[in-house]
Amino acid sequence: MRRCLFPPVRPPLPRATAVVICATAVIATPAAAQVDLSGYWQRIRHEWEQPQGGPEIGDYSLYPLNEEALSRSHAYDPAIEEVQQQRQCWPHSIGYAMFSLAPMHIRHEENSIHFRVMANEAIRTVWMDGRPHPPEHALHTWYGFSTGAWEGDTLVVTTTHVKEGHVRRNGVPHSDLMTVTEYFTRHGEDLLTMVMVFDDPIYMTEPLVRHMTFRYDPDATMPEYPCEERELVELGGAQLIPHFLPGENPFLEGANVDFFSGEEVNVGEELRR
Amino acid sequence: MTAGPAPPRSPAARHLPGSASRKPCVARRNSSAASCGFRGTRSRPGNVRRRLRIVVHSLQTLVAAACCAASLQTFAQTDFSNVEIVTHHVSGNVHMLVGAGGNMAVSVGEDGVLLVDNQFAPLTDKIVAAIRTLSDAPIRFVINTHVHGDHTGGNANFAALGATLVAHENVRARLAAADSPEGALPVLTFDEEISFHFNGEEVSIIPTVSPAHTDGDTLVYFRESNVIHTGDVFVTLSFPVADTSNGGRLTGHIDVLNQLLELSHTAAGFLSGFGNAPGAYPERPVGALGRPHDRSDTLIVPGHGRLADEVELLLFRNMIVVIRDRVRTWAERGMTLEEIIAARPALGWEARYGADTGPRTTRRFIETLYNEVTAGE
Repeated sequence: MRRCLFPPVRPPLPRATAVVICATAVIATPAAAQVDLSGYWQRIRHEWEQPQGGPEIGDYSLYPLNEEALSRSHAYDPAIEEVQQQRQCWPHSIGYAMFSLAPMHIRHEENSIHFRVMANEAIRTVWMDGRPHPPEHALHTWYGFSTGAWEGDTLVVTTTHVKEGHVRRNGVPHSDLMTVTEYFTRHGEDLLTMVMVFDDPIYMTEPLVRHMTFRYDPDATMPEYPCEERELVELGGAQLIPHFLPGENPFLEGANVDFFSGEEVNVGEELRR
Repeated sequence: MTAGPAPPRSPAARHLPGSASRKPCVARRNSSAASCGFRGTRSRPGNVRRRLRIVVHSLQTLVAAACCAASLQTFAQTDFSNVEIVTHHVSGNVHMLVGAGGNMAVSVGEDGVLLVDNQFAPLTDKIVAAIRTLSDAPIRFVINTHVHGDHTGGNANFAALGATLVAHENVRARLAAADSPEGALPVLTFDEEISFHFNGEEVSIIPTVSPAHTDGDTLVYFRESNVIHTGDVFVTLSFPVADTSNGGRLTGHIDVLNQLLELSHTAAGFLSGFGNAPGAYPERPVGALGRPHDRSDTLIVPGHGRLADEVELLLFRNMIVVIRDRVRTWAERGMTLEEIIAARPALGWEARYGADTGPRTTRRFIETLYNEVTAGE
């Protein structure tokens, strides 16, 4: 029997998420120390699927958010995306990009592995030559600085130096101090699993673990994904900064169902308390 | 809900040909700016003609060697022996120097060295040594982004080394009022935008549109390298601070961040925020996958903290506006300052920027905002 390949994650993962990660690894097919991941990969539908256009405002089920993150999320007004010119073509950060539109293309180079995702034409470089991460005062970018190493047949990628971004498209933030650890494991010819562990000391009470499975698609191509700037919405003749005051977000008025208890929870009422 | 002011109109983009002078700077009252390797910005129709004041104090450099900056007195007991000055190439001619105190930017090239800010006086030797790893050329100009000792503490030392000190006229006035030694006072002052032509590029010295951190805040824009040193109007480690005793105004940060957003630019489309200026971190595989990408983001050297770009400027501006709106609304509803502080209007950013001790506490941030919004600002 194969044992879990994954090293301990700091801080310790909750039991349930650790089981998910280990189970994913255990079913992996044994392979050489370095596995060829190259090619096009299509996303398989999964339990994290969200409605077209993004999740409902106030739906943060399964996200281990602290009070700082909840304050940011409750204040989020999606109108901000329509009135700030600078935001119109912002890509998803590492907190979300890998879960956005596929296909994903992987290419091996001598000292690096490159990931390209269709959405926003995200391109990531994972350095495999053992170079250190940059100093603290270096620039932070949407996808951060990534280094990788093989642990058995699993590619483990560590990413730091990310810009502040979101982990859910309804205002749930991640900070620029977040570290991301990814585990890529190929299962035979067709399947590739990706497990991402987001460790954010600013906005999360414990690491957030997400995963996705991809299917190999040798016939895929990478569609263009041009940014089409929209006309700004003028509010009062000025570029405003839309947000909701604490306790006054009308989108939180409806009842939400608590994932664990199944009971209805009025998030707005909870917040006002 | 609500609302930041409309950003100021964008200044006309200027990329004038670099014509750096290598002549020694001979500062004379009413002299031509060009003789010192810089040039007063041209007057424009409808604008007040820009003024450049050149203040000459002939004994300055002689006195400088024997005098210490006020900051040295303040920090005389601080142990700087373990401080290391780290250099970090930003883009083009420009490097960022990090040590103890405010971040520095340095331009190196054929015309010599131009330094923005200089931390504390006891660090001068280390700063010079760090610069010498980049260039052996003389340090010709030192620009102060504002008056504080963690940015101007080495003024006298650098003047003694032959550098010409340049700052907003309010910086000189406040340094003089604080009994700083003569050698620590800027000899070239301005209250309007001026330009150096140095190391093959235009370096714009731009007073902020509003008092923010202090009333002498200055932005330094290396236009070809596409790097802006912001001074302390933008930091990445804390909430902003308005030094009201030096004319600062917290809500002025919003105006200045809008000014910075107008000055800076990113590559077209969604490629913004990659920090992809030539030579900048991180290396990205141009053309390795897909089409090559344009690399032209303006990079930002903050007063304190890490290298940034337009994205961080925008997020910082938005944060201040959101918290200001909370404080203002709650004040209008009759809440007292203590009630507002207890309601934690900065929740959402406290863990990232907040502090309970030191000069940049969350309480000070909220108090200053409260005082300004209740005064009608």
